Amino acid sequence: MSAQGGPATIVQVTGGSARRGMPGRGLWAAGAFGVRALTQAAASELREQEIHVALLIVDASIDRSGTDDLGTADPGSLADAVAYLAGQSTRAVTHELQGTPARDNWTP
Amino acid sequence: MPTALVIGARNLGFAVIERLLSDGWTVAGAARSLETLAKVRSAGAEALDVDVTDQASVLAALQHLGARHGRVDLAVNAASPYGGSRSGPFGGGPLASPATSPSRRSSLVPLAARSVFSARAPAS
Repeated sequence: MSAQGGPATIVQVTGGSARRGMPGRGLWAAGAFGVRALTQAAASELREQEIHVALLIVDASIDRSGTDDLGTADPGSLADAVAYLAGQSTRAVTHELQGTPARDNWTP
Repeated sequence: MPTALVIGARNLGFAVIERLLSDGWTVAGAARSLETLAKVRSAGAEALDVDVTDQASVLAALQHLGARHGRVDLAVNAASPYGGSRSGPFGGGPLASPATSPSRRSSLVPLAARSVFSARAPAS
């Protein structure tokens, strides 16, 4: 993407395990922390090529069956977050965006 | 028309594809399973078979879109080693569990990210 020239956006999706190691998910968190590190490095490296790199942390269970469970995140709202990241002004870009259902227990 | 590549198209990736299409984007959805690829096609996006852990595979998809549409404006990596027919405790299970081995799935995640970030199209 850097060779084509001009602005572009890369959105990397990850989960809450990128911020905290939870019981039973230590190995998964090891990978997710790593993805966060790679994304931060890429965001810095690609800035001068006008490539906006963002990490979307889906701090939630994602509803897979179209229910109205308010404790889960729906794919549509998360897709809205991706569209938002893709359309940002270069005057204020987001490198890490976390989303979580308001009704879910949340640890910062 | 801006062009997007969405890697991982089953659940979240598919919702992203639908949102981008409705915003007027040209979209390609990348996945491995035939069922997901068919779903991508019927939504109106191009379906690409991509192995997100293989840098060459990711690069080929980007180059294909670049050649077809001029440039790629957005790449979304929503690939997950979980889902579909793959099973097992989410996250690998307790570290002390005899069933837990250095999980290949966990190592897939940074590999996938690295493939997307480091894929470079050659200068034309």
